Amino acid sequence: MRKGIAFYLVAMLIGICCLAANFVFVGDDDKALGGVLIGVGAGLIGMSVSGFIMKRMEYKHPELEKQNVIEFQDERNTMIRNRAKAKAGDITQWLIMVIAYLTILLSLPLWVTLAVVAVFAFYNACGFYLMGKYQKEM
Amino acid sequence: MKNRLEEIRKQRGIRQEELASALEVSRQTIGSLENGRYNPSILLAFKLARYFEMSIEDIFIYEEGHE
Repeated sequence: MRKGIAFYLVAMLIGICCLAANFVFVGDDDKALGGVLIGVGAGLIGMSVSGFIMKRMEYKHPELEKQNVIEFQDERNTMIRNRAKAKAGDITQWLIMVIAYLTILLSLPLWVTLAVVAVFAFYNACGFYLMGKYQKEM
Repeated sequence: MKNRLEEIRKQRGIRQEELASALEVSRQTIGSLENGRYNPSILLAFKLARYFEMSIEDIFIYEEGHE
């Protein structure tokens, strides 16, 4: 419980710091960085607030916390979650290749195409590495 | 894989929620098991068998070619 609250507290502090840091980067050249800081800050604060609300509900209703743990650890739910992630990853992999071809069609700089292809290659390398790892483990 | 889970559970007058709580799984998992939509892990099969004080074969019916 305390560990969870500490995590959300740290996330909220980092979020507030990101939003505050945004005001430091006010120049035209720093606009992009400021935008990133607002995005990250808002995301962290939003996540922390929802986390606090969830923890508060669990504190008030301990049976809810137990049920949430059961739901999360349930073997069917775990299988569904992993299957969904794997399928989503597969779809994303091909989407990345579509984006790579789009970058060529749109005559974008070569480094953009190469960066997208590198992501595709990394995804596949990661997949092969994990397959090897799990082959040894199981 | 077919099973007699619903039949055994009802015979003993246990609700799905109670069985799920005792085995620390979700109620939906019990429902899916009973409908035959989901085959349990060997661990859950053992837990079920121990809960009902039966053997796994008494609850789950394995027929070749019907996986």
